Formats: sequence, C-alpha cells, structure tokens
Amino acid sequence: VTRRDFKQAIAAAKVELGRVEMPAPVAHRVLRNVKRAGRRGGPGLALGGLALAGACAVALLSIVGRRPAPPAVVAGAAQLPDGFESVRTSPDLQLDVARAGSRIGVRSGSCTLRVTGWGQVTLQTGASFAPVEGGVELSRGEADFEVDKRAPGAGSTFVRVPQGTIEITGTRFRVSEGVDGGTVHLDEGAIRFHAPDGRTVALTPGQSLTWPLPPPPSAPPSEDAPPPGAPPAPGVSRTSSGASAVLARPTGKTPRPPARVAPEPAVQAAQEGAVDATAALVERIADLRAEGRYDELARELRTALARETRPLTRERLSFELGSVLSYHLTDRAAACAHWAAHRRAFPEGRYAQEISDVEASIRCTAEGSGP
Amino acid sequence: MVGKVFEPEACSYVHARPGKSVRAVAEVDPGAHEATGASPPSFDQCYTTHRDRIYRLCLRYGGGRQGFAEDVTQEVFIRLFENFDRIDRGEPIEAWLYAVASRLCISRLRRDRSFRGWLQRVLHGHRETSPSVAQLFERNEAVSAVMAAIDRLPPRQRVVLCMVAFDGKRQREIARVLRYSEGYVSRLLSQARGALAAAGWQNVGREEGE
Repeated sequence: VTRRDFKQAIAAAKVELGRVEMPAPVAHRVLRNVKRAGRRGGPGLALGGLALAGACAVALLSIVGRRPAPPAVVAGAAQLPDGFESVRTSPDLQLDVARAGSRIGVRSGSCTLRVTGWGQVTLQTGASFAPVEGGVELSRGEADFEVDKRAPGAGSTFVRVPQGTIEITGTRFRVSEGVDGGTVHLDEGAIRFHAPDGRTVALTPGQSLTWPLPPPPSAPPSEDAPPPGAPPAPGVSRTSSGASAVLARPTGKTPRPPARVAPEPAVQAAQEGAVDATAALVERIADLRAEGRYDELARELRTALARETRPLTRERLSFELGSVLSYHLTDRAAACAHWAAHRRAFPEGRYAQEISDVEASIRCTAEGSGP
Repeated sequence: MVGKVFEPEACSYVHARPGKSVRAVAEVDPGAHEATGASPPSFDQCYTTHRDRIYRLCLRYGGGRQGFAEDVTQEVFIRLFENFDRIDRGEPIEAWLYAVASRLCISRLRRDRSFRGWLQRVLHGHRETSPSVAQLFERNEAVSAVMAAIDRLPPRQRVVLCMVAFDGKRQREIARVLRYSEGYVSRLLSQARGALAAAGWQNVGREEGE
C-alpha cells in the first residue's frame, strides 16, 4: 500500500474546494425553494393562519355591514370640506358636498377655491372635483387651475381626468372635462398629458390639447421633436402665433403618479451582458478542466484576466490560474511566481489561507520562486 | 477600544480593532446596527453573503457531492428563514449557520446510509446528476483520493474529522457545535484517524492547536 500524506492532500483539497462557489442557477433555485418552504410551513404558520382568519372575518363583517355611501348634501361655500378654503364665489353657488371624502360638485354658479398645499382651482357649473394623493381629480366639468410653486425636490403634481393624467410642473391652465373627452388649455408654465395607452404629450404656453387622443400612426414616431413646420402632434392645436414648437412625444412612460423608477435599459443590458460573459467563462473553465486540457485552461484564464476589470472576479481568476499552475501543470517556478504576484495584487485577498497552503505544499520560497 | 460592530455587507458582527474609533463606538451587541445607523441585514443579504461558505462546507462533509451540498444548504437556509427574526444578532450569524449546517450534514448522511435512504434512492431513482468535486478534479489524484477516503467514513466520524482537518476546530468547539461530549468527539476522531491510517494514509495524527 502506498503511504499518502493526509495533511498534504487536505491542503490540496482545501484549495480545490476553496474556489468552489454555488453555481448561479443553483443559488437562485435554492433561494426560491427556501422562500416557498418558509411561506408554507415553519413556526409562524399557525400565527399566520390565525391572522389570516382574523383578517378574513373583519373583511367579511365590513362587507356585510357596509351601508350605501351617504348622499351628498347641498351646501354653500361656508360648508366646504376640510382642505378647501373659499377665495371667490358667485352669489348663486350651490355645491354638492359628499358626506364622506372631499369630493365636491358644483350644482350651480362658480367658485374659486384654495386647495391646501396644492394651489387654486376655479370650478364652473357642473364640475366635480376632489383632491387625491399627490394631486387633484376632475371627473367632469370645467375648471381653471393655478398650481403653487413646487418646493425644490417635491417633484411634479397632476390633475387626473377620466381619460388621462395631466402632469404639472408649476403653471396656470384650464381644463374642460365632458362626457366623452376633454380639453386643456395652457396659459403659463408646462404640463404633460399622459394618456392611458402610455403616450405622453407635452404642452407649452398657448397650446391646447383635446382628449381622447386620436389613434397613433402606424410608424413609430421619432423621439426627437419634429422639425419646424411639421404638423402638430395628435390632439395638439397651435396658438395663433404658431411659434412654439409642438412637443408631442409618445414616450411610452406611465403617468406620473405613482412615480416609478425603471432600470435604465442600457445599464440593465450591460449588467446582463457581463453576467452572461462570466457564466460562459465559468462553463468553459469547467469544460476544459473536466477534459484535462490544462494548458488551454491556463491560456483561457490569462486572457480573461487581462480583459477583466472587476476586482473580485480578477482575484478569482488569478486564484484559479495559480491552482492550475500549481497542481495540474506542475510548473512550480511559474506557480510560485504567480502566487507572489497574486499576493502583491490582492494583499487583503480572500484566499490568503489557501494560497499559504499551496505555497507550503509546493515549497515556494518567500521571494516567490520555486525550489 | 474593542467592540463588536455590525457589518451590513458581511451580514455579521465583527470585532473592531483598536484605533478604528468610528467603528469601535458601537459596543451594543444585539442592536449594533441601530447604534451605527446601519439597517439590519435582510434575509436575502445574509443568503448572498453566506451561501457559498455553507455550500462549500456541505461539499466537504458530503464528499464533494453537489446534490448533497445543494440539499443541505437549502435546508440550512430554510431554518434561517424560519428563525430569522428570533436569532440572537449579538452572536455572529456564521456560527449559527455553521452549527446548523454541521448537524444537518450528519443527519442527512445518516439518513442516506439508512435503509430508508437506500429505499428512497431505489424508489425515486435518485442519483447524482451533477459530477462530484472529486470527479471534477479527478486529475488531482491526491484530492480525489482523500475525498473518497473521507466519504467512506461513518457520518459522525466524517464530520468531526472534517471539522478538525478542514476547519481547524478544536475538540471542545466541535463538542459544543454538535452537542456531543468532548470524550465522544475524541473517540470519533480517533476512530476516523484509525480508519484513514488503515487505508494507507499517513500523517493523520493530532492537528496543531487541537
């Protein structure tokens, strides 16, 4: 029986195992399974079940015991809901004020109201208006808006109409909402209209926009503004001066509320590309290793190392190359020189212990040369 | 001043060194993340930080079988997921994971060797679809041989031996982690070394610091 050195073999095994990482698909699968299993069972299941049952009971009671919404009452400007302040009212003003919530409808006359923290609105007969989270809503009728200057960093606000959302960046404009559509005329500032299909139309002062927007042309429109003299964008009418450029741009973005940050496509693509390249490299390394093509593997690793810029990946590739030189190509001089270079490049490296073990096992000197 | 401080990236508490005054301010163990203003780690952060370490540990104890390592790693993190809010964050989470992984490896190895394990393999046609590390590195004969030799040991002997040989643990630590008596750990270790020596391995004696 050949006597083999256990400690030396363990040192080599440490190196071999030290560079094993959980493959990405496995890591993904395990995490998914962990969360599934955690949701299914665990000590919290009984409590979770009880909580769920309680929530169902409360929901059931609230549905059963739900009464129809209270009818609106006819009121004057003196009985405005919270959040409104009367600025000007016509003598014949009659308002429908919902018992719950802040919606008000103008039955007759007109009024100018201040919406706390938002701006000023002038409502004409037939208008139905309510403040909502982050903006206001005009569900029918005609209204003039003067929006307060927004605090820096506060972002824009909006007027929601049944067939879209008008994004406001500090302005004065008029909105008319009819049964089948509406119109906005911009006096000052800038607004953008977001149609439900994702199209966005920007307006400059003096412009009007009617909705619903006509169907988009079949060819995808350019992202750039149309050249001077180009026909107005769908639904946009020019002012008499006609000087301002038409800013109709179907951006495909969703309306502002709620603000949502989507990943930059270019950045996402670059990240995915890097992950793909790394995955391909790992696969290639595994193949070469399994086939015992260590010369080729070393070449592949050197090329990848020269190309790679991410420090952690560089360290890993360098470690891989060192272990191939040490154990497979048995080129001790090259291996020792490589480990010395590795230490210099990654003085706080993750594989310090493993590298010490390798160097001891192949008897490298302190200067990084072989025996 | 030396104290435990929270390292969000490591999902762990570490001991600050003297001189690193900013970090050493946080002396409060359980809520160190509050003292430093760092948010406590999420489960996903802990998973990302520790999964490779636990996977490697399971590979070592499982003789390099990747299927075994994947299964046990999954089980370890299920335990972590279920107990995440109850774990004492004053202790390094690595220690908790190490202990749970070691004990689960023994359970799983014992189950695999039992009649039930054999029956499951036969009934479900279970086999390793991915190559073991020993196979992957078959050109490194020494590694293959030592992994195969360890793989032949009974589960408890194998795990105890690996904890000494790979992880540099002392018998007292092993006894605490596995909840065995020190005497029993010593006996397991001695039996494992005897088996290795009988299989032709030399230099299997006491490790430094043991």
